[in-house]
This record gives sequence, C-alpha cells and structure tokens, in this order.
Amino acid sequence: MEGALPGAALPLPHLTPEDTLRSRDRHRVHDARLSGRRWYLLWLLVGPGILVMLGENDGPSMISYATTGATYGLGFFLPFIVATFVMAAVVQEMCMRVGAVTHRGYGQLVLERFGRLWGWFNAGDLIFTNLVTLIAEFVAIRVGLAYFHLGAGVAALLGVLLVAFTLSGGRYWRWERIVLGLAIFNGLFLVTAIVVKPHWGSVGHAFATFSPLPGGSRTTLLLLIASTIGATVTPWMIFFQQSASADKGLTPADVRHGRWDTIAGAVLACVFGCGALIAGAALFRHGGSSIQGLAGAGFPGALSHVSGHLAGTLFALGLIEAGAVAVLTISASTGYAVGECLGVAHSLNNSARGALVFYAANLGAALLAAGIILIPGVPLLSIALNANVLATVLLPVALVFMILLASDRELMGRWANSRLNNVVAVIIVAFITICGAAYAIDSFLHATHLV
Amino acid sequence: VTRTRDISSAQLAEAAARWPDADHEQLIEYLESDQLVEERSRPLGRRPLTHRMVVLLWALRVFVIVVGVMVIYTFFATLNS
Repeated sequence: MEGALPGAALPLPHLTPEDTLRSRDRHRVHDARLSGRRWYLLWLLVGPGILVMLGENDGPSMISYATTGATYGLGFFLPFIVATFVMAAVVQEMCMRVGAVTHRGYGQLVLERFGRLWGWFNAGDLIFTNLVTLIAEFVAIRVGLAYFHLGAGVAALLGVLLVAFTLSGGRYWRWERIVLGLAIFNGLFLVTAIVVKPHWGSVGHAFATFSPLPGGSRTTLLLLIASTIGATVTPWMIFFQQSASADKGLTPADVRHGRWDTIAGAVLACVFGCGALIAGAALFRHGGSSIQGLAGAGFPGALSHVSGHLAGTLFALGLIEAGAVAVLTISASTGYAVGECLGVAHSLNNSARGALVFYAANLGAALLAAGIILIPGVPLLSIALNANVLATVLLPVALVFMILLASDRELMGRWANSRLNNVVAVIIVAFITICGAAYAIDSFLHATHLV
Repeated sequence: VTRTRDISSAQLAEAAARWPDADHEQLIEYLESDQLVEERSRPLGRRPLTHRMVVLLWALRVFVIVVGVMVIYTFFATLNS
C-alpha cells in the first residue's frame, strides 16, 4: 500500500487498520443493499440504537423502576416510563443522525465546533457521571450475585473480565454483537413481571389513565421522577450512540435504518422497564415503600419471599445482565470521550496497541468502579438511585450542544434538524431541567432543615 | 485540537493483513471520503456562537454546577443522618 497508483494524478489516501475493517463492514452493507436483501441489511445496520437503549435499562434504572413500583404500585409511573422513552428516542435519533452524517463522535464535534472549554466541560461531566454510574452498575451486579450467595469480589471480577474479553477482538462488529447477545437477556424483567402474576386490568388502567397518581412524601416522589428520567436519557447515551454510529461506519444512506434501530431499542427497553416496575409492584403491599429496608434484603430476596423463588431468581439474573451490559457500554462511552477529546485513536476497530489511550480509558473506568464496590459499607441503593439523579441534573448542557450540532446546516446539510425537531428537543430539555432542579432544591432544603 | 496521526508502515501492513484479498482502490470505494481516519482527524472549523447563546450556555453551566453540588451535598447529608 504505497498510497498512490501508477499513473494516477492524485495519491490515494493512506488506509489504517481501522479503515480496512470499516471498509469490510461497508462492503457487506453495500452488497446487501444492491441485492435487495432487506432483512439482512437491517441485521447489519442495527446495533447502536438497541445497545444504547438496552444499555440504559441498566442496574440503577431497573432498581429505580422496581423501587417506583414497590413504593407506589401500578399507576402513574407506567405511562410515565413510556413518555420518557419517547423523549429518549427523539434525543438518540439526533445522535445517530449526527454520527452517520459527520462520521465523528460527539466529544470531537463539540471540541472542534465550540472550542476546548465547552468540549472539556462536557467530557468532564461525562467522565464524572460515568464513574458514578459504573459504580452503580457494579452494585447491581453485586446485588444480583448476592442472591446466589456470591460476594462483591466475584461481581468486580466478572465485570472487569467481561470488559477485557469484549475488547480483546480489536473489531467493532465483534464487540457490538457480543453486547447485543447479552442485552437480549434484559427481557428477563418482562418474564419476571409475568411470573409475579400482576392484575393485568390494573396495568391496563394505569396505561389508559395515568392513575392512580402517586402520593406520600414529595421528596421521595421528586427523587423517583428525576431518577426515572435519568433512567432513560443520560449524558453517556449521547456520547455513545453518536460515536458508535460513526465507529460502525453508518452513512447518510443508513439514517432510515438507524431510526428503526433506535425505535426498536426504545420499544424493547420500554417494555422491559415496565416489566421491572410491574415486578416491583408485587412488593407494594408488603412494605415496598420502605426503600432503604429493601436495600438490605435486596429486591430479588424480597420478590422471592413474596412471589416465589423463580421471580427472585429471574430478577437477580436480570440485574446481573443489566449491570454487565451497562458496564460494557458506559466504559466504551468513556473510552470514546477520552479518545475524542485528546485527539488520539478511538475506535473498537483498532487493536489495543493502535489505540492505547482508548482501551486504557475503557478498561480503567471499569477497574476503578470495580475497586470502589469492594469497599465495605458502601450504601448500595442510595448510590444506584442518585447516579440516575446526577445524570438528569448534568444532562441539559449536553443536550443543548446536541441540538446545536444536529441543527448546524453547515455540518449536517439536508440532514439538519427541522424546526419541529428543535421545538420538541427544546421542550425535552426544559422538562428535564425543571424535574432535575425540583428534586435537587427540594431535597437540599430538607437536608439543610430549611423546610 | 485533533491531531492528524502519522500512519506507520507497521500499521499499513496490519491494514493489508486484515483484508488481504482487497486492493487499495477497492477498500476506499466502500468508504465515504470523509469516513477515512485521515479525513476524520482533520479539525472542522469553529462555529461562532451568538452572544445570547453564550449567555444561555454559561447560565446552564452555572445552574448545572449549583444543582449538582446540591445533589451531592444531599446524598452525603442523608448518609450521615
């Protein structure tokens, strides 16, 4: 590969190993499109959307949904989860579109278009929330494994080994398919919901009427609303889907399939998330409102006591899966962000030698979080719930930059946001900002005894 | 900020080994020109922000820091109590 063909007027660009692998993937997409194999084409192009949505159905999210069900029963929060996934689909579609059109990650684009200050602010927010969330993911794995009498050491080892194994191939496609295979087991929460034998009439009534409305402590209600939002739209999702779409090699021709991928992910995650809430609601009349009490016993143990051993086992396995998949996607988003902001190689299509910083950030984030859960006396449920709240609070700035990028006509051309896109996106930002602030101010006033 | 990376001969050899049957032209054919690592490493130009947008972004940044500190304080206060 000399970079020039004999007799050619212009030298051909150099190809890196990353380009070669991406070109192979694009070759398959090209062939599938030409031969009209629609389902095969869809199979090749799905990935980032489903992964980001099922990745966000992570340990803290599922614990948050189950806590909501245990605290308030079946009611307002079931359709509220659907509404939050609609918001997530709108935001994530923008990320996919920007990634496919620009072939660049979110961190890199913010840095280049708006300067180092804003780029590093965003990356700082992400790294901080990612670390807290990763700790919460290991907590979820630990809670799940505790049901099978396995300790924190096993949880830490399992998570880190999984990250190392998935990264070992030096190939985006391999990584994506392994994580997708694991993410399917998020469906265990739906199976748990069926096993606890809910009153389906109440489920239907909740979806149709948004009622009964939750009562009780305002601070707990605001915490669970903020936490539920944080369970569906977070900073890492923005970084991850845009970077993964670019790394996968999506182009503007694939935007339609990217939308299907995102919608399919949102629908699956919404159904499984509602499953976790319905499963948690089985504890509603059995002291479920005592959230900290449940932290001691753990949801799987409490479910096992109320709805049988099978329900507890399924929920425990679901928590292990949810934590494991999120450890993989969130550590990948950390790697992408660090690589993009430092301007070094940041692709899963590189070997570890070719993208040392990217792989080190990926594995390092997982190692750090795994180390923290080994500290005795760590407040498990508080970390899990507050990780989501923190994500909600830090989200608005990242979202505003996403809207600016997606509506940048110089960058996006005809793929830029329409006026309607922008109006909907701004409403979402305003809603998330108000919910996050309401919880933060209310709980702060209580904590400082000002109210 | 983003540096154009030097591509070593070892990397080029690795690239060739990853898809030995394909020639250089064929590999490039399946990628969009701005999809190549070399192109993606070229920084895009800055987009000037309006004064109003800068004010909004700083207001949001301050808001996020204040609210974030409140959440963290509450978290630790709850633990201690």
